[in-house]
Amino acid sequence: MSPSGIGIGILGIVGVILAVAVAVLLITHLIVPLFRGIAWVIARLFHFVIGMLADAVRMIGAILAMILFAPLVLLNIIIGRWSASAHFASSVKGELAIAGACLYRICLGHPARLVGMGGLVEGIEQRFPQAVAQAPTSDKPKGSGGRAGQFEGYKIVGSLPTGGSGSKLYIAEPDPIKRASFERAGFRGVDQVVIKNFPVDDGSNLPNIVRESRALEAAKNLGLVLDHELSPSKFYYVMRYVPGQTLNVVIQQMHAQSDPSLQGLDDRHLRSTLGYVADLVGTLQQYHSGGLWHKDVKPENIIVEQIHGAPRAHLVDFGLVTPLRSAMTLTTHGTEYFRDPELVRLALRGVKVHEVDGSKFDVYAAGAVLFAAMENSFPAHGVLSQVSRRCPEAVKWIIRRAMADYDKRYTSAAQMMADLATVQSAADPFALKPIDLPSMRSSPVEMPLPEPQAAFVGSPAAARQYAGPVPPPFAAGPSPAREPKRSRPDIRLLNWWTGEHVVVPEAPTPTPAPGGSPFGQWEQVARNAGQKVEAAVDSAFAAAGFAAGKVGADARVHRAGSHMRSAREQVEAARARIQAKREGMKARRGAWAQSKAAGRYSNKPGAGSFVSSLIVIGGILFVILMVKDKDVRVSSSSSSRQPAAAVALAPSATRDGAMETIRFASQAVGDKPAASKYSKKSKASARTEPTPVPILTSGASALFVSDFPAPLSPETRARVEAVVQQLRASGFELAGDTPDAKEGDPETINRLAEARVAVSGVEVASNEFRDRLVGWVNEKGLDAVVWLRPQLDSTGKPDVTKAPIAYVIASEQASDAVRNTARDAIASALRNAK
Amino acid sequence: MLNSLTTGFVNRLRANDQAAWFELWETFGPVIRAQLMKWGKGRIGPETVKDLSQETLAALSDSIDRYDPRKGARFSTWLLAIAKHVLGDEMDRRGALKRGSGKKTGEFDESWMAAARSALGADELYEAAVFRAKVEAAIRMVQKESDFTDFAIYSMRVLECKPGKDVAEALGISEPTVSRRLAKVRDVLRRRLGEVIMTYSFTQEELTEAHRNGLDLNPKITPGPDDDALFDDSISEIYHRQMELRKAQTVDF
Repeated sequence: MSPSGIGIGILGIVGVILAVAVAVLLITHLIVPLFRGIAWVIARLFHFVIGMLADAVRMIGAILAMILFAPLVLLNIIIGRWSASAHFASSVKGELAIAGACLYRICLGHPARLVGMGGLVEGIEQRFPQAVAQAPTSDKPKGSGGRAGQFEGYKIVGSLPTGGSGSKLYIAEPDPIKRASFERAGFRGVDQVVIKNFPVDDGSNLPNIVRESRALEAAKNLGLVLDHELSPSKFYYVMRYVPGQTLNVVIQQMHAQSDPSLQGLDDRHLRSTLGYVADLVGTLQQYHSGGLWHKDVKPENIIVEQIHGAPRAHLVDFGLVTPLRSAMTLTTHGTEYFRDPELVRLALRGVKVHEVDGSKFDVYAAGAVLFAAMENSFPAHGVLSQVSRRCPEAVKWIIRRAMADYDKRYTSAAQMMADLATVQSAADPFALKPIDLPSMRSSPVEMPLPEPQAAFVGSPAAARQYAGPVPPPFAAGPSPAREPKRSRPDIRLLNWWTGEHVVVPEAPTPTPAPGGSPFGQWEQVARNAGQKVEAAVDSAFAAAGFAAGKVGADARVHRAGSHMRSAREQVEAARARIQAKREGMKARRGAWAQSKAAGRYSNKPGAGSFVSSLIVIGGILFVILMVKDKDVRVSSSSSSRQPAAAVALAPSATRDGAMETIRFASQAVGDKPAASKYSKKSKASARTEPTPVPILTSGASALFVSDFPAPLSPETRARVEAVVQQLRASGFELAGDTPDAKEGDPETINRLAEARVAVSGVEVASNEFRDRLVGWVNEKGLDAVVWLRPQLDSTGKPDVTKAPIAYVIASEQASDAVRNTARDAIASALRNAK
Repeated sequence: MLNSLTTGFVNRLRANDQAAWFELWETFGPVIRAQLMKWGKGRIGPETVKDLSQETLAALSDSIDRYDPRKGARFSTWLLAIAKHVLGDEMDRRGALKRGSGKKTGEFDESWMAAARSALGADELYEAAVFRAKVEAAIRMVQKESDFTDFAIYSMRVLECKPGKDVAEALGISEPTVSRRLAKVRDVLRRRLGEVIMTYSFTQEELTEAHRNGLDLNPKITPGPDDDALFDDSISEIYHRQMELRKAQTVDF
């Protein structure tokens, strides 16, 4: 091979190498980024379309739900079930919020994100709702009303859904005396309470009462129960009322409000969820420290309350609360999916409560609640349940650990709390790995119980600042450090108005039985201190302007709820009851009581009721309009069957492609005039007042055909002339069967003959009639044909006493103005010539 | 052929061993519920389905003494027959409650089942669900038996289909450790799966179900990566199908 050949070969090889290198560079720097860009655009488009579709469907669903709820709201208002009405109204409000969020995303959120303007809507989507949620609420004047007397010292203002134990739940307001007694017991700021009543003669059975009363003492020790009464006919206890929605509703709302394209909770709602679960675990920690376990932790038993804009979760319903050291046999009570299967297994083996660690079953339930919140579904697979939605890996780990087998899960709620707090305090929970969690790093942590705090975590900002366990919801009333109870005398009030009373003399003190009445110790103290206090009471009464009571030696009356009050309290209670009754009367006389301050229970109409009313009223109007429209159609179609003496009053026009049919609905004298149906304009023209007829600016040529037999009657002639004149006045150049046409004019005769031949053998007003005439008009270069026909009587003969029927068949080139003008001109002429 | 484990389990049921009954409930409960839900679609709600599935077990406890596996009927088929009659009784009861419905109260009406006959698919779907329930029971046993972290690794790697690298990173361990722990759990699962299938299988055909579903319980002495991968894939698929079945029963959150 020659050196030049070798050189060429080398150059060729180099060239190939260079070409390959260039190709690789092109692929890596141009084509790959290009494809990546295309894939990015496609992914964005895909997210956009999916998001739009999902939101549209969700919005429709929310609207449908609102429509379903609305009648329930009004129905319950009508039958006086205010609480149920308020409940449904709040559901309407929730659905409205979902629909609004969907609408916003459809109109603004998704399009903005599609074009890369996500930052534009960030403020609206994140900061605005946060600011609104944290805004202080207005101070509305306090309302009044409600029932008093059913439960001494409480005025019922509403009710809650009945529980499964046959109990009835009432929302009530304690009177000032009760409030004062709560204050003395250390429960401050109790404005509203829930009374759980077990009416023996109305659904409650003894086992339920026994079970709940067994947990009562333990619950009182924890400050969960404020008051109670147990008698042969009645058993009820009183708890602090927590306004808000249940967690399952909140979870659904959060998922509905989150961006569907995320396939799970967005960051804001994720933090809120972690806050709720942290609240729950903190509460459980408090239970367990107090020697109790809840046993029925589930989203339905968790109430999310808004405290100054910061949501906070409260655990309620302690019907199954059990002492950890109980000697009873473990039972399978609880709720499926949130109850540890191991609990059932142990219960079936007959294991005693104190032989297991009940707090671990609560931990399992807390994990299940966290799963439900992340997944918006039940943990149907137990320990094998898998979070398939958007969720930080660390949170998945917490769920897995909490729901693990009995001996592998968190050893305590505190340990779970520590992990939760770590996730909450992380700047980006998704960046946190399970290895970063305290439970993975060290041995089980026993965290100290928190000091009572006023507010917590629901908000992200608070979550970031949070570095310790959450105080329980009942921390506001610190039961472990209650104020010492004062000694009070046992006094019997003889006259509540004058204040006359007797102080029960010191009697032999019976030794209180262990585990007896919780008031036994107090009674003993009161009896011992009776003489000393007597003087103080007398002086107090004297200062208040009352006559000093006479001390009777034999007076002693034991009445539940009154034997432990001072005379002053009894007097004030009686006065308060009278005052409450008066206020109740006033409230009943008034139309609507004013709304209560935010954060308190209210069954008064709100936004939900308003929206429901709008929906129902709108629905009723729609139905009325539909029925009315149907009546008009029936009237119009039956007009031809009216007697001959009927008077034609209102024109009715229908349009069928290129053909307009104008006829008069003949009605008997005295009937209301029928409205035409073809348009708003024709409805307007249906009125008896003459309506202005538009005039064609450019003019139009039309053939006028009349089927009236000659000679025309004066009435018919007048009508035909009126039509012709009105048409001409509107700008039509008419030829044909006009009254002023020349007799025997060959051109007119030919035109008319051609038109009639075109539709010979075809039924008038049929589709073929229309099509043939349109073709003929097009062929002849006319703008329209106006065809006037008499109505037929029952024998099929022309009835010239009735208003004629007019057909306007326009050519394909004719504008809508020509058609409409002809129609209106004829209608106007016939109406005026009636 | 009836194996000793099977005999033992039936005997435990006959002796009214509560733990055995619970085990049975946990394993077959979801399948029975799914079947009842399918049959009673549009006629009975989820709560009724729950009640009926419990009634099915109650009826089973009444007739467990009459069960003879030597006749060749699968236990699961027998259970299904009981469930069918429990549902039939419920439908009859409802028919009797409707006054003027034109149905005789004592008549056994199976017309409601005809509509669902196509869905039965000659019990193929049901038997597949029963097999999946067995696999799920085995996974649950392994979960109880294994170390928490080991099973968490298995769960993340196989059930959640995460790459080994991600699992290692999340837990702060090396990839070989992940593989080693994974193999440990897999071996236990193989053993437990064999036991569960032996416990709840009563015919030779049932015993071969695992192999048909890609679960080779007796691979080579040292199973290769392909064997393990096939096993894991099959477990993952069965698990996800079982999860779908469970989710279908919990639509009303």
